[in-house]
Amino acid sequence: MTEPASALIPPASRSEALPGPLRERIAERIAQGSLDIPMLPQVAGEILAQGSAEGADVRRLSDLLHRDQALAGHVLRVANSAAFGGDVRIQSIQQALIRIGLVQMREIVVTVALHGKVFRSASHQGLTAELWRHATLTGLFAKEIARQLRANVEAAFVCGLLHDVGKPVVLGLLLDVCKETRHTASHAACEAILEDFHVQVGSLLGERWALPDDVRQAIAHHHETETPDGFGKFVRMTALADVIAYAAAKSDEEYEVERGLLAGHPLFAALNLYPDDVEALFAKRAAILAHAQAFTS
Amino acid sequence: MTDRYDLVVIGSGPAGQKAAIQGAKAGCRVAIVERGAAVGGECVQRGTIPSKTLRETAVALASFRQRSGNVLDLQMPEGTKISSLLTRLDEVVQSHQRYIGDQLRRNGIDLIHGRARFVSPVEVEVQSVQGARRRLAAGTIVIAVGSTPRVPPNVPIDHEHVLDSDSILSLQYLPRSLTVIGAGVIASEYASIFATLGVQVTMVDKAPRPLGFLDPELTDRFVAEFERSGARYVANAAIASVAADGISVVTTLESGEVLTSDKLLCALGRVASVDGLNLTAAGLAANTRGLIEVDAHLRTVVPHIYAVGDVIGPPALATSAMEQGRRAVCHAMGLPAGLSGETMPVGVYTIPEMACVGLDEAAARERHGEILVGRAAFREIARGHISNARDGFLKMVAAADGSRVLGVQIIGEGATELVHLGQLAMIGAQPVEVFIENIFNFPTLAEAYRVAALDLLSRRADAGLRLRHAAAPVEERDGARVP
Repeated sequence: MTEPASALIPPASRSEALPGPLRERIAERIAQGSLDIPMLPQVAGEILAQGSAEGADVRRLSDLLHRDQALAGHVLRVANSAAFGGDVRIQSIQQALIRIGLVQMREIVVTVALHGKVFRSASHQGLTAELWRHATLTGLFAKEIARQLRANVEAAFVCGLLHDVGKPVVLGLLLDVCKETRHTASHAACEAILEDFHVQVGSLLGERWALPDDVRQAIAHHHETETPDGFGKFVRMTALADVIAYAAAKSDEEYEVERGLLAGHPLFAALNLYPDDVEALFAKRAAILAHAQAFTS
Repeated sequence: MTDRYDLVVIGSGPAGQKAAIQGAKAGCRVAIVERGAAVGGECVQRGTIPSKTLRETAVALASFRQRSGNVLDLQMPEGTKISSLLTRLDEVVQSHQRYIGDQLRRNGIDLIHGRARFVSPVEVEVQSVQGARRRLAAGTIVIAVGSTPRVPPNVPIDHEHVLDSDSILSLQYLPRSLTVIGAGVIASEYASIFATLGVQVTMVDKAPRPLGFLDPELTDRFVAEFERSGARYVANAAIASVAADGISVVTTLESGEVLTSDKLLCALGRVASVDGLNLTAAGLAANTRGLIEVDAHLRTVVPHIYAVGDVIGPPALATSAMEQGRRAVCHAMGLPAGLSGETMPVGVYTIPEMACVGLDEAAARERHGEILVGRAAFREIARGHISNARDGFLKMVAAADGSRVLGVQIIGEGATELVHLGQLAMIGAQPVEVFIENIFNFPTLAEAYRVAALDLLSRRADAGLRLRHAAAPVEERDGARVP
């Protein structure tokens, strides 16, 4: 028996919420399973340009895959599909490239870019950029945390990149619903709706796309930092990367304040990171911001 | 506020554990400080225990192929999740940690989670992971902090494409190809494990053969086996550069040869983990090799501070570390430690594994001049045939009259267990005949000792005949006695 859509609606997490009927409609879409991750138009364009070029550079393709959560998610989905998957679950983008090969990978990304949904909302470009930037920053910080812990860097990046994969899906649904109803949602209302639904939607997507277990765990539990001991290393690393990424994206002054507050975060101790390890991680902020800038510009 | 102890041990690896337990057995109040989240040190977390667990899987695969007479050929699917090969790892590590933890608790040892640094020769400050600090004072302090992989300046280790021995087991899938830089124990073990799992492995080193401290007969056989599995050993080769392009790793040798692989393992030795100990406050300093120097009793230049395990350098094995931990505390507490174990065996967990005890042929000749050497190939042993382990061999080195065994070298599955028979013969100063005049189970690989002993004694007999022959009158030699 299918649950009524209203049962899927979490309470609004912000004071400025969408009108009830719109929330219900989004919940209905989720219940129907209309889940798709829209891509960034510039990434789609670049893929098509790369894809049609003779002898496209594998490095460039890898960079593109690393900078777009939608594309990375699609590629992992295809790589783990029956057509390619075999018995072995693909864990990372590098592994997908190695397994599938450059020619077929180009075909996959071109197909995704051609047929996938692309964001076409001038009014929400800022929010879209924020989502992508945060995903990239979280992926890059997760990498650095993994490096410090000698955990798997590739898998940590994918967990970080896709931890909020539900958000662009919800945003896509929201934009569709707004278009149908001719409603204009404010930035704050959008953020609230994304916050409310993204874990649930991300988990559904992870399940449907058969994303790696670590990624699915990270999507489902990255906000549950109160009991860090209850989860595996990748969930903790993603959760920590998530909070550091939010702080790192702020202005230098705000970041300094946040950094002081962050230093005592229980996740550091849960991951056995000592104060100087934490400092070493914070010291990477400038390099990571520059890297993310290169990824997302 | 300073907590006072009789003995403080820094590090809970094999050396630290044994030091702490010996102290507790001697009636001391003991604290052991461990920086990791769990006890056991690198040995349990990232070293011996996990690597041997992966090796066990690889050996099971190899022996399945071998023992089926290659009727069935098991191949690892490309990209196999390493975690699926390490399925038992968590269980093995956790039970090992539980065992160590229980043992420490049972002995009334205080386990303190944090990082220790000296603030004076008799005091250490421990910083918890949250940053809180406390002080411990002790009459005896044992440094057992272990080591970390060396990072050469021309190898950009990123733990993603270019790995070291701490991060190699973080791999989540089997790469198609792996370049291994180095030819020591860790390099050789991992190179042969991955090769057995079907990875295309290239091992590169400046040395003409890997594991230079072993008898060349063993290492030549190892290289032959390694290359027979499809791997390659590039000898006498220096690294010009290593670069990861995001997809693969390109290693350029000084010869100009270029090796491209999915991943690279850098295993060019380890360095003592003395950074952060603030040795100067204790009146200590690391030597030019970054090690803490000790005397025959494992004592540093500060008489109540001892150092044991990897932090003092070779042999840097878990086996020797445990013994050093025990001996150091025995000395500190004025207890007899027993005779120094000169007959310490060495085990190298390559595939096939290798082990030795005592002197090899070259060292024995150098020290004793005339010696006897006996060999037994596993293909001569029934058990070797049954297990299809025909490529191994045992080599026994003895005094020229066979009155005592000077050393044993073995390559082949079971070598690290088999070597103990030779070790006990040496400890007991037994003559070579002990392996002939006593009964061994049949069929077993231990029978190789009997075969090697027979070979060795037949050489003695030949040598004796030759000597008698040379000393006999001419007519006797010609077979006709002249009256």
